[in-house]
Amino acid sequence: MRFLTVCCLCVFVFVDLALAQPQRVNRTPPPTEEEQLDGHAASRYQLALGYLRGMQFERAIAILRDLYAEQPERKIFFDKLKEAYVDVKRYDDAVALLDDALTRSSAVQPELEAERAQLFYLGGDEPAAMEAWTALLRSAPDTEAVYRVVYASMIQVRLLLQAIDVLKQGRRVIGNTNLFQAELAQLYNLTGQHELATQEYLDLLSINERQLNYVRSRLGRDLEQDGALEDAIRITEARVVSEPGLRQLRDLLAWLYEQAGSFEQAFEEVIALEEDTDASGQGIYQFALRAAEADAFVVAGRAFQSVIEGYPGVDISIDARLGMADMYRLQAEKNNNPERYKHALEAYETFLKDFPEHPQTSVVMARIGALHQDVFRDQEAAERTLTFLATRYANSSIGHQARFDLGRLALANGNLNKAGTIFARLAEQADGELAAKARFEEAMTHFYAGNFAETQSILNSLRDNMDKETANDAIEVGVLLMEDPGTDSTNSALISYAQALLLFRQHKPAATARVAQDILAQWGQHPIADDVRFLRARALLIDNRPDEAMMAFGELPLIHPESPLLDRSLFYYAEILETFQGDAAGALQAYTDLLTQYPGSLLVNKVRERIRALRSAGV
Amino acid sequence: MDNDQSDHLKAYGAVYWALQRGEPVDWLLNFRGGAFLTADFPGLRNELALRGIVHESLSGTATARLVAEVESDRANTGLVRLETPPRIAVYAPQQTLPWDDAVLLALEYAEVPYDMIYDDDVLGGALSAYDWLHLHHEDFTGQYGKFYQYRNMPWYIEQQRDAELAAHRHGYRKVSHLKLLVAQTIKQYVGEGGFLFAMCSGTDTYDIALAAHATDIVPSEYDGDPINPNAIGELDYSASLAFEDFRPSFNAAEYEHSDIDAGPPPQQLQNPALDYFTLFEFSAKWDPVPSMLTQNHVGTVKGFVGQTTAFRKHLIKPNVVVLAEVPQRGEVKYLHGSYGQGTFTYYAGHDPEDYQHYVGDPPTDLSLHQNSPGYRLILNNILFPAARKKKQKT
Repeated sequence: MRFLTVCCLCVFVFVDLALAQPQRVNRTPPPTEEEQLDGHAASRYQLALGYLRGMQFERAIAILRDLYAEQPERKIFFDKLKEAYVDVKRYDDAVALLDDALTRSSAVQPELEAERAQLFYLGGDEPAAMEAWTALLRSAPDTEAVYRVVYASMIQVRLLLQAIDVLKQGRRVIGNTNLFQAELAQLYNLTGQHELATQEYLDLLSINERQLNYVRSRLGRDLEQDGALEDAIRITEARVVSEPGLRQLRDLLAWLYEQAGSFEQAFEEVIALEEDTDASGQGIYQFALRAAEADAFVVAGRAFQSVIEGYPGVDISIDARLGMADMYRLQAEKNNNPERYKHALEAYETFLKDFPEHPQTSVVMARIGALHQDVFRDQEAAERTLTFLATRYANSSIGHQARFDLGRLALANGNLNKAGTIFARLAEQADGELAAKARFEEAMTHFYAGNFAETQSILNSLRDNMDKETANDAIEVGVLLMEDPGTDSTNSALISYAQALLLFRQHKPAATARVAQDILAQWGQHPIADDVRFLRARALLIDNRPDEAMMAFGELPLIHPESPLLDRSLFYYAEILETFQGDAAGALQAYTDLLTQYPGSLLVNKVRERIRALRSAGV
Repeated sequence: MDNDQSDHLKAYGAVYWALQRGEPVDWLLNFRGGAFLTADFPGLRNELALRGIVHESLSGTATARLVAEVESDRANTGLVRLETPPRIAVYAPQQTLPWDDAVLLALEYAEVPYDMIYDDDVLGGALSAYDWLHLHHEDFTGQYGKFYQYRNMPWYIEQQRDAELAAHRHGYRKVSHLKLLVAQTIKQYVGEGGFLFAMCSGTDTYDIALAAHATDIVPSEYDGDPINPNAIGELDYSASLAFEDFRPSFNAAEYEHSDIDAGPPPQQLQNPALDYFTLFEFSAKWDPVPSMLTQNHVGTVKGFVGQTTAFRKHLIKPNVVVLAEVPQRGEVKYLHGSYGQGTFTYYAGHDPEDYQHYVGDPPTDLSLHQNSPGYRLILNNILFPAARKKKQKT
């Protein structure tokens, strides 16, 4: 008569470990079973192992079978013989060996019984396997460990659905729905049953809120599978409704919404979590930052506002105000939204007024300066802010950037000497890319002033640390100076062109077009005439005179058939046709002409995109 | 299609486009890197411009003179007429796997249409609708690419689950059994006149699976039971297409299927500048098929590694034609052979423009490699089924 030893075994092991703790220091490890073998058995066993390593299975099996027959109580003989049988797929022999071991044992051996079933399965006898597993479960229906043993044996042979059934049966029979949650969740995931996997994780979370990170990490990996995220959200939503008191479920739901990019819904959960606890506002603030980062500006704004109003006078509300200002700026940049730029400026200025000693003051001021200078073109305000920054933070990167921007401001005001001095000094004092940019701008101040020799000399010295854009600009100016000097030693045409370029840079398109027209009237045959014509056309376009711009772009190839600007002119021409004139067919023809006539143009990829877009629109 | 061509890869797509419109195209083998010649039909010039392909216009007299020159016996050049666009299938799962497929990238970039098919389609008889079949990086041995180290990754789990479900759907307990049936069905397709093209591990695992039809070479980590103890002796090399006498790797953790793959070059040569392979030049008049497959504007192509990087030469069957080899190393990069009425072409390595592509790496942007000689070899394959068979000179 066998009796069950599983639970008792667990207890004995536990007790033994507990007793062993204080005595462990001086104890040498007990001899292994192999070390306990007598000399003859040991050498035969080693010989068998050698045969196994050499893949001489039959010889190994013959020795191991003898050894097992002599000492069936030796587990190493039993294990190695069984392993050898399996290696050569002699599953029947392996089953017979297990039967023999089971017969010799007075106790139920669930692991051996389960393995026996597994061997039936590997041998192709599925009914016998199922029968053996079922019999094992029937022998100890109330024992959790037996279900685990059967489950483990089934997943060894990838019977995942059957393993799920076994664990579910265990829950039902034992009457504990909290059993096997992690195992079932994993099995459901392996079998693509994401809803059920989520249910299990939620059950796990319901009874232990400290499992939130574990569940997130497990779910996070599983969510990459098709449909898994949608399933997880649906199930968690329902669970939050049925168990509204469990904040960990809501926390998980908020996280799932964020994973799906549903920040509005995530925000509702974050707010609910905040109301539910002794809140600090940190959760909402962190959420707002993540939402702004993900371009979910509306909800990010609401979240920042909620922190500002909910936690007045606390540090977190100050951080939220700065976060809100940054968000306005990001939103404005993203959507080119003038209203948002205004909001950003107001928010930064108010922040500065309210918190003049805040550690982020210099950063805020730099942002204000950039907005004044590049967005609102308020040169006076920009100069005030930038001068303060350049003085107060003279030797920092913020101070250097402020000086660079002051140089740009001087250029915009037409004060070339001042700009040149600022850039030259900065190029000496700053490092890396900013120094190279300052040096290039110094060259440009000479260019705009008509000092082309100095310009060329500085450009020649520019070698390192240039970003791509600056490098391209430098090459363009260098080529212009080398190739288009003209025959006039006073460089009058080139000087006027440089002045026109400065006007263009100063955002004065009407004046640019006028000066360009004057140059063309006076020096229509000069080598820079095509550049001037091109500049004029661009200025007209920016000045919102598309008809004149189109005509200017259109006449360039007729007047200057050898100009390197023809492809760019044709592209602008086509764009105006498409955008301003609504002549899609004409635009398509112009784009196609560009491809045909200038196949080596750098614009061909853009042109192909436009042609494909027009074609797909049915033009 | 020599160095003057601005976009070699798009040119193949333009040829396919012309064939779709019923316009025949002549492939001038070994002439200016394998140039194409076609009539100036309406819309052609715009299409070439749109695709960024350099072309030259010839008068009727100049064309006749060119054809005569190419057909003459004085030079190793030849003319093959392409008439019908081949119907193309790519054998690949719908599941998105974290690596790209060079053939799919090439077809997409060249704007050549194709269908995706997989196990159910192959076993359902879909192959008869196609002239050309490409095998993506499939593991026909049923070992899931031997990506055992990734077994807990979602894509691996999904791949294994889908494969097991497909196997069960078709009445098999093991994925390796399903894959064997798929491999055998593909072999039958080739035997009946299909054109098979495979790259990277789609080459050797296909042959290994065919040879292992009577044994079990899959370690227990992948299918739950050990390999057959006499698996090596039970391999049937007569069943494989290109390789013989190879030894499968039975180590589940080894990222290698067999000794067919020579593996990456020695460490000091693992450099795109030093690692290269050379294309053989074939007689355009006597060997038009290998000639078509090796058309290129260069004779030496930079190397690239993959799960299968190069084939060991001594394991290649004698009736297989070597198209490109790695000099001094006894390794073959590109080969071609016939089976029944059809042909097969194997090209080792993963991505001709990404020297060592890792799992999860972003796909190669072919607009940055418009003149890729390595990718040209792939696209040669899609056009040669379009060739009209003509009698060889005697």
